[in-house]
Amino acid sequence: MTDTAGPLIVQSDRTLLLEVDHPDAEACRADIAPFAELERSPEHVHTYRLSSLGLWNASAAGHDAEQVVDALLRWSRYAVPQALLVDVAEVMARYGRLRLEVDEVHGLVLRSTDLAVLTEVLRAKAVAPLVGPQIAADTVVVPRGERGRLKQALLKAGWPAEDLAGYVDGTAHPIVLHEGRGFDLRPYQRQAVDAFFAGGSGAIVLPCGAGKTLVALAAMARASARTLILVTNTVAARQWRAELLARTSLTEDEVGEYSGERKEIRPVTLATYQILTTRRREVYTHLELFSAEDWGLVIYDEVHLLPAPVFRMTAEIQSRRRLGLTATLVREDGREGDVFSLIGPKRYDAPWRDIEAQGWIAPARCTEVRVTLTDEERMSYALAEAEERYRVGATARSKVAVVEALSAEAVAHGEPTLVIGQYIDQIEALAERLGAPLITGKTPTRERERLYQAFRTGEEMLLVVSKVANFSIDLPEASVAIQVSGAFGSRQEEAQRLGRILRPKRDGRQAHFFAVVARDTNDQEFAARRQRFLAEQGYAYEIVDAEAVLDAAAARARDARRGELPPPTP
Amino acid sequence: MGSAAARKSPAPNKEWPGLAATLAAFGDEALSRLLSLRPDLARPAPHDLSALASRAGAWPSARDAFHRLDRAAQRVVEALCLLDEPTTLAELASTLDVDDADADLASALARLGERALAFVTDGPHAAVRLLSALRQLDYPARLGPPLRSMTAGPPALTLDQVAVRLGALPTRATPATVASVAAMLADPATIERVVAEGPPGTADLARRIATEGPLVRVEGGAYRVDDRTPAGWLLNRRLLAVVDYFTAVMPREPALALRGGHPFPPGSLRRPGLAVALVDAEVVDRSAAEQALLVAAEVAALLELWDAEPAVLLKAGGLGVREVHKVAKLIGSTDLRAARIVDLAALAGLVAADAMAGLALPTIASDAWRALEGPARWAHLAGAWVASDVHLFLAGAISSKDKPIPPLLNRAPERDAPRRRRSVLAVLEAAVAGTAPDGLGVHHRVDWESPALWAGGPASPPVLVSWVLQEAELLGVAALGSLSTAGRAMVAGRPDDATSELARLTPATVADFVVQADLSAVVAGEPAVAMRAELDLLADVESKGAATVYRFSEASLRRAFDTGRTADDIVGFLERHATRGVPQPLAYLVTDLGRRFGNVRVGPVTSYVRSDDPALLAEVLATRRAAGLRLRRLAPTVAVTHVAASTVTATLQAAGYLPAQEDVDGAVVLARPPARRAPARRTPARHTAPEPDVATIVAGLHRRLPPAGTGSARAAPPRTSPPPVSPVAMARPTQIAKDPWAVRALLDAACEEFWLVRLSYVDSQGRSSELTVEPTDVEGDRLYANCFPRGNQRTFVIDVVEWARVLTEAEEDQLA
Repeated sequence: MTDTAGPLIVQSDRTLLLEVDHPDAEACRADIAPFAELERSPEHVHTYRLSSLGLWNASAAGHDAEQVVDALLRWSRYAVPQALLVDVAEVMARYGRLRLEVDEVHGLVLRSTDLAVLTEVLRAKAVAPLVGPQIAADTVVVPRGERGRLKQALLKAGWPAEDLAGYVDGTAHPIVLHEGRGFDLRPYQRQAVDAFFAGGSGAIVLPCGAGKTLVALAAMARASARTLILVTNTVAARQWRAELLARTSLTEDEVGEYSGERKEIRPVTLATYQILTTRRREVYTHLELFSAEDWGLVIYDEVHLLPAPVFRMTAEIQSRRRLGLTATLVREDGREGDVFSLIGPKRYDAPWRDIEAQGWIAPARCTEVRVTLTDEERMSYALAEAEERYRVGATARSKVAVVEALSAEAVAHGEPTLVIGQYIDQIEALAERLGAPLITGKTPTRERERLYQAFRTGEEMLLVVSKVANFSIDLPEASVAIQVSGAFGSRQEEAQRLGRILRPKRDGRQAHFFAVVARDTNDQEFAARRQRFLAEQGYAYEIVDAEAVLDAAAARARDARRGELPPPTP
Repeated sequence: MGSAAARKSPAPNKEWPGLAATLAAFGDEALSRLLSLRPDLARPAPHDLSALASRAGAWPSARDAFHRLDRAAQRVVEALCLLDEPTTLAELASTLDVDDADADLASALARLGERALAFVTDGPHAAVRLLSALRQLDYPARLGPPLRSMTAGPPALTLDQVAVRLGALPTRATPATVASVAAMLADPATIERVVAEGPPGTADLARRIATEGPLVRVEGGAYRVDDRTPAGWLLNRRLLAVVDYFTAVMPREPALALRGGHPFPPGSLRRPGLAVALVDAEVVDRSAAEQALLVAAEVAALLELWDAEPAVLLKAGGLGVREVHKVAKLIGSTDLRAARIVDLAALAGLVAADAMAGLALPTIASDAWRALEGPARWAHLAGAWVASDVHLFLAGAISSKDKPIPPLLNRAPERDAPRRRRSVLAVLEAAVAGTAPDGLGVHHRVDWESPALWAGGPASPPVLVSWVLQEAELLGVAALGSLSTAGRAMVAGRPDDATSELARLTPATVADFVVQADLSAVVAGEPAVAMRAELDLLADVESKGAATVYRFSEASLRRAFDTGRTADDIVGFLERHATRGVPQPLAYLVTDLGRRFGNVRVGPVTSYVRSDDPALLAEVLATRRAAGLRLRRLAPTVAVTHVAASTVTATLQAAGYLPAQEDVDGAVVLARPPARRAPARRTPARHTAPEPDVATIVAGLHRRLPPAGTGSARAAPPRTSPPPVSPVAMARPTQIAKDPWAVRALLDAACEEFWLVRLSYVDSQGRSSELTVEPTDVEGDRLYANCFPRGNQRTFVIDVVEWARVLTEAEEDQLA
């Protein structure tokens, strides 16, 4: 065999398999990370995927095909499929053939060194209406307003344009990051900020808990201009506000909130996706926000959730510097290409496990607890209508005892614990049974914030939350999460939910995620998907029977009665 | 071409010792070579040299030998046809526009010599002799007959008119006019002038006929002509002569004049050069290996697919678009490639169409193939391809009906396909490793080497050549236009070397894998066969290539339980092979499935006995007279048996019970049908006769000259014991005649008596066929006969009649 015993296996279906325990694995990972997207990172073999977008991201970051081919050949254990190498070169050569530039006379222009390519794209139906007159063989004028849409169209046509047209600085507004006062930028956060400013606009991909907000604050300080921050909901907006006030020189008067309740436009303004997508008579009424100020920076929190209308608005503001923050570029709606063309290419990415290994994220253990339903519950499950089945299985009463045992044990060990559920009836009943506060969509914001605060300070050890807890809330001390029912295995949701308990803990305790699942129902099928996703992210996964949990709890209770010390958590 | 009469008795050449004498001067080696180059001469084995000479000198054999020549040798033959006998070497060389000592000419003559088609006689006046039969060639060098042999013309047209039109003064004497017309038509200046003066297009037409002719179709007929059309203009001036109503021919002289006096374009004898591109031999080997393993994997996937679900054939035969698409989806390729993969599997005998069932299925042979490792699998495919009489790329090509040709169509085999393939592969083989001959160059080369091979195929010659080249790339025999090391070994007939060479480039066979908590398993290399078979059962393949990624799922594991694996078997297998241990979730999943598997039981039963009274049922079961029913109790109130309901009823009635039979309602018992297998395909070499054993034949030839005075090569074989031919009616012989003289006697008699004869005849391709004929005449070594039942007249060489027998009267009646 002529293998070089490298850590990488290049498959002809464009997946790259990286053997994690190989001595060269880290060096190889550093070489391939710029152009390949980490798809799965289970314990032994990580899977990367070569996609056109990924290769273009690499091109945008200044890598060329030669480097990519070289990296593949250098680390590959077996012969690299020739067709794949040819394809890599071909795809990468497509980026940058077209450039958006500023011409002194004509303003924004699309220019190409390759006349054939320019001719091809100009003839495309989707592109033609977006460009103005051709002023030279290699140059065509682009109306300012079409900059974003043109980039979208060109990406779809397979010839992504490099945007060199620059940005307006926006109205300056001094912002200073209070580094050293209780926090410091971690090295990778610094790298992310540098990469962002080197590239112009784009997305920074960091896992939950890795401090994306801090990266954004540092970017704001670097830009020192008026900033618009788009976040998923009001709770998140409040948290951003708190962070801004605590960690930067910004004062209450400088930070505005543009939401359903308040419509303040200030040098730094927080707006929710919800308000932006509100329509009155088919018209988006809050669009003026984008042009209300001479913004120097627009930040998109959780860019993978960005609603489609916001893309449309973003297309209008291509001359503003844009920063996207996310834990994953994978979108359920497949609009990764829009993120690429409208927000910008990926500027920084660090695999979760690497950050975890550096100690920034607490490692989590995942345990699936299988509850055997009573005969009665099985019968009602069997007889339920197809669309009702999941609810019937997921909300089975048999789960209650298990949740009780798990949460009692966690609280007994001083672990801040969240119980998460989808169905209001179920979590209301659970909250009552566990004697814990309940947070749902109906809970007033003020009350919600109070409870979160109490949870943070340790006043409350146990919270029962509905899926409102899924996005952009900050619960630094939650170290155990117990999920009793969940949406249908959406990958994003899993990432978010796990993100809740992945926050670094001061004493480095291990976070624990429990999923309570009804055996032999489709609840279990969804759990299987969850298992796959979490395992793909590299988390230890275990399946146990509810009986084992209950027996252990009973034994502990017995021991406790005898006055003995409880044994440590398994 | 000459008439049939001319073909029957060509003028023997008096000054030449004759073919038999010439062959007698051949050594054993030369004779062997002759027989291997013209294999039809050896079928059936000739008895002596004169029989051999007679066969070799006969038109059909000579014609076939001519068609199998390369272009240079053909040109030499054509040049000889244009010249008078005896021909000096100098004349020949000048006709061909080369030097006397030209190496290409010498080697072409040598090739003709060893095929006994032309001979160079020694001596002061070195002469070249062409086998006289070859003088019957149609239009050598695409030149028409000389003017002097032509008389026909439009009826109203006299030679005088032609002479006037050409611008000559008519003379009284016809011979003088003929001479003057001939001289003018041979004069380039006159011809140029004549074609230039014609209506527009005349010059183009004349030049086209001169180079591509000599025949041309005349629209509107060759007899109603006038000077207004180019063809008419030429006809009126004898640049064209009428052949039949719609066809005209250009005489030799004006065509030669239009060719500038040279019958052949310059460099005709030269073998076309081959432009090569430089390629990296290592890259070629790796790319080809990658392709080779891919193709083997795709065929394997196809077999798996059809194992589970045989493909349904179209009514008209062949595999429909939908089935092809299914295969394409499975192997992740285009429909076109999928069609070829299907045909590849078919030509390798791994799948076959079961026309009776209308299904395409894996064959019995496929099971053995599947037990092989990747490289050996490939060697089987590549070996089958090299020898196959199917053009793989015909599948998916556009048929004459403008539709793509479906795969698995039971097409007639292409007899020439293996030779075509070999001739292209030979060009690649001759190229040094690290060079890739240019595709068009390969076409020119193989076309030069054996022009006849490429004519009459299912596509034009350049397309056929490109098919072979692309097939080689598909198979991974070649890559980047160059043979890989393994491919080279395969082509050279060393499959074992090819296999080991491919094995060298194959990712190492590994017998272990890594299982991860996301229920995936990664085999970092080529999985060992046994392990792969088990993994294929337990898990689904997610990604294939140098490594294989499997995914366990409930469905895939259930499949394993279905085939009788237990949870312990599965966990045991995983523990044996998984180097990093079995993750807890997978072990849990297997155990959990094991727990649930079989909770619902299904089994075949013919009838049941039920009673609401468990005690009564217990009594029935205990009855001795019902013991033969072998009732089995499923529940207190139900018992089942494999005995038919009517029998059970009768038995129970006999035992004194009052059973009531219930209707069958619903529930069909399904059993998994056993995997079906199509019968193995017939061996690919179905129509080729066994190679004659040349050495034995040569040894057996009587090395003696034919008797003096019978110098002609056409002398009939001597009759050692001529049978008496009775003038009175003979009784029908019942024996089968096998010796040539006996056959001849039988045929002679059959002619006289109007008997029908059944005979076996070896044709020029060496195929023997049996047919019934009505002999009409025996002349020399020929039999003229009408074939039954079509009644077409055929000529048979008596020498190659293997056997003959007279039909009985009863048989004749049946035919009538």
